[in-house]
Amino acid sequence: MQFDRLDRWLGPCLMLLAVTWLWLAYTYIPGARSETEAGPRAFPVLLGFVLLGLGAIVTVSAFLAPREARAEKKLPAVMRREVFIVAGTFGLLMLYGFLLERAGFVISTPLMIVLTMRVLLRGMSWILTAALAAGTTLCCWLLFAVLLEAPLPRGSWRWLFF
Amino acid sequence: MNFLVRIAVVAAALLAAGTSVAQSTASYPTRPVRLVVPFAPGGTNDAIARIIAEKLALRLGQPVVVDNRGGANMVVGSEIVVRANPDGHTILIVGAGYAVNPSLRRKLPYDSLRDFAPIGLVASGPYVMVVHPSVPAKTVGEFIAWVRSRPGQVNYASTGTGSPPHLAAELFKVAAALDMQHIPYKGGGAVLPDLLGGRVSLFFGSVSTLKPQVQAGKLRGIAVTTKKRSPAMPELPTFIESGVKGYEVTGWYGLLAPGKTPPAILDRLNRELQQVLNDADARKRLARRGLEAAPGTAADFSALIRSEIPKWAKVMQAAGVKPE
Amino acid sequence: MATTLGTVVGLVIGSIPGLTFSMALALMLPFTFGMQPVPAIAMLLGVFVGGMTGGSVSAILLGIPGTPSAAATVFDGYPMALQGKAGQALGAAVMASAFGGLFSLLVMILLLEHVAAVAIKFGPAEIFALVLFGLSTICGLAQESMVRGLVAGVIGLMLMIVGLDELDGVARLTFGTVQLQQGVNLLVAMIGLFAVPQVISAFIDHGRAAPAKMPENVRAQFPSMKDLRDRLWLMVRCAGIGTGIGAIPGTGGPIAAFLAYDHARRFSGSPQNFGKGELSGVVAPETANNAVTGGTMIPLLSLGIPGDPATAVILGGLLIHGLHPGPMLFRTHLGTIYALYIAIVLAYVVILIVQLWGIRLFVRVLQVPPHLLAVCIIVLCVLGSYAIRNSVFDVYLMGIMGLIGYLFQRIRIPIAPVVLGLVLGETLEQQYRTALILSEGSHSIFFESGVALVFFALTALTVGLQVWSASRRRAAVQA
Repeated sequence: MQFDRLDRWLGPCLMLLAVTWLWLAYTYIPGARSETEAGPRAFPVLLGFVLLGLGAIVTVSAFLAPREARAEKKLPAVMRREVFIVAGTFGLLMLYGFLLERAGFVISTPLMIVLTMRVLLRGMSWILTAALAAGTTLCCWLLFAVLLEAPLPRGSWRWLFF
Repeated sequence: MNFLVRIAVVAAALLAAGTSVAQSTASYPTRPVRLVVPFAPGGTNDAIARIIAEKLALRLGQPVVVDNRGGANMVVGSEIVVRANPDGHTILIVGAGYAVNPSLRRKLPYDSLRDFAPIGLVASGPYVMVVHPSVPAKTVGEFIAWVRSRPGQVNYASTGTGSPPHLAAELFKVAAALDMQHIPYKGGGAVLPDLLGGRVSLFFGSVSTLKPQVQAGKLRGIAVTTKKRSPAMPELPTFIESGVKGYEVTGWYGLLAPGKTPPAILDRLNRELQQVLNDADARKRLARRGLEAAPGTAADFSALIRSEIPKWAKVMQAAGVKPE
Repeated sequence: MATTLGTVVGLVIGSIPGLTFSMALALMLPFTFGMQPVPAIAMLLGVFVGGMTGGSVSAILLGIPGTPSAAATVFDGYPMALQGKAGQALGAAVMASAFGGLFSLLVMILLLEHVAAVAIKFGPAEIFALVLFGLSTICGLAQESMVRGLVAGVIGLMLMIVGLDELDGVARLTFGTVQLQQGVNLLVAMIGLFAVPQVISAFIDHGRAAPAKMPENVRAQFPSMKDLRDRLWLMVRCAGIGTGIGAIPGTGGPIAAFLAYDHARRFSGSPQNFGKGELSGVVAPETANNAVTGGTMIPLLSLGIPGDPATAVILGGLLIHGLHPGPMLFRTHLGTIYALYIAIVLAYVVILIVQLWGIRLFVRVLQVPPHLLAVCIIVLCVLGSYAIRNSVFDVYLMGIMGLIGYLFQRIRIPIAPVVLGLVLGETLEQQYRTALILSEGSHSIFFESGVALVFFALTALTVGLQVWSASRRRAAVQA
């Protein structure tokens, strides 16, 4: 995709974001209690308008950009694999958090590593996977729980039974 | 996939066995006790929790782990404890602000009275009224007269809307019919520079923060908010002595457990807490922060919370703070 | 002995993203209960100083700041590591840290009363002006386009709005959830923004036909004395910036590091090299953020004012041992104070020994294939963001920030200004509002103060210069 074509999308998107933000701010944040204070809403509203203005600048300059400048900057194309990895990494992060709360650190960490190695990075050997899973879990456990006495999530199985 | 399922089943079975053992109260505590501090590390609440945790662990025979869950004026930490297993292995330490939350927020994720069982009060202490030395008042009476001569022009600092220092000052405004401007700050550390620099005139704060400043002459101590004088700053009179009738604010810290914790466990915890509070070393460390150990029954603590909630609701209303 | 232990703990914790030294200090505090006052406080100071230094290790090696103060170190430190100059960057960071820390200690010893007297003059209006000046460095951090830099900065500021407004006790854009009332934690956001895009890139590169680019030369090569001697004057200036900012309560390490970074770039002969692995870009923020340690001790010891959460814990430690900071401390416990000064010097000696020895080990991290390293980084990031507030919610938040970070990278919105917005947003808004409440709504409070006016002028100058040079560059391209 070309740089300025991207901006033709980015500009309106930013403006939309700004308008949504302003709407949220006016709806959900109470204004100042008295005339003499700035109140909790002043800053959010100011930021909303600044973003709106910046979005407008991006939009306008994208449509007005000189023709020669357009060809210069190109963005790498989006590949299907990229989408898969981005979504996969994000999904795994969420899953990891979810599992930490329920299954605890000791179970979810190796599971997470195995999933990452087998699903996201295909073709990793089982031996390497197992070694990394065990090693990382052990190291993190030593570091956090033993050395630093930081409480690691132990997990709660109550959700299974109640 | 198959073996993962098997692991999960085995682990679940083990954990289920663990919880059923924990249900029997006779052997309490069976594992480390988690003491949730609803503040980030570093504050008074945190410091008290760490003193108590160390001593309590010796008596319970299990480690007491301090778990900081700061945020949203104690609500985040409190909610975690409400949701925890009510088996005495998760307890909470709260400050005076706990009784303010019901009137500060319309929606709390718990009922402040029903969802918690009091274990006991830990410590209490006064707030100290201090002014910048440029203020020409040395007593409460002089200060009232000075403010009345300049309505709306005198400002006072607090550690945030609905914080105990804010309420102590608001109660003072109501009791003495004063007109002063409220300046909220983010925490006690943020107040000091402006207070020492004379940009704000009045502040109600803790002994540990203000005593060194008063001793050094950077601030002037006027009075303490408790019923009796504070052993930490005995030279300061109380408000009642100074002629402000019925004015009394106590900063307190106490332990709570989830509402459904068995009474036997609550009793045990209260018993051990009393021992801890009679420990000379614990008392000494609390005293260094200007606090007095406050032994007492769970019922005493419950009564305190019940009297504080309506008291602050009234003050908040007078101050014009609407619940969120 | 206590100092050594404290320093090592600080170094370890500082280098792990998500474990902050304020948390480390709180963890160490109970251990000091039974100790004599001097070793106890010395240990706490060791953690503080070590943590501040340790943050640079993961910033340089992994591109993830171990502490917020090390965020500015990433911009040039990480590129250096990718170029195989990790040893140089780490070595320079340690030397700069020690220099900054000792410089600020010297300032503290010699000018304590004077600096404290000036620092107390900084009211909300002055701090607002200072922070606004800090924000103007967005111009320098925005690489290709100023507008995109500003967009990023505004989004960073917006993220900081979410949560409980501490001044009025009002929940802002939390949609009724208690979890969001905690707000977007700075460190959680930084872990997500810096680490996740890298992890994703490492995964993507792994599948490519071309073998992942490995730094060829990972030998621990130290910076030459000449490298440092050439930058001595820069280090002195940055140490000055750090000490000064540290002394002003309510500011802190991240702001100092960003200002120093921008200062170094602006006054360098080759500003275009910054962001691509320029040694000065590591030296400047590392000098400044360690100089902050001495700076914050000034209001702490002389006035009893903790400037940030870390010093608040140290204050707690002092109180527990019956040392009440304030002017009286210097009359009653002068011996203790001198012992503490010596402890800080000792801490830096330990840092130099441990780090210079450790660098040989650290650089080996880079020999691990990037995709395997990425797997470990994920685990570390998740545990780190969990540990900050013991909250799984923060893990989710970190993931979302990571997604945003990667998206921004793809549409060429720079990350650095987002971080700057996050770092400065809260202070900026709170100081502005407090100033206005103090002045009863009159903006004249900002213009009556000479200090504030100086910073406003500097801000205008910075922005003006940037716009001017940008338009000149554009004219040159079109000609």
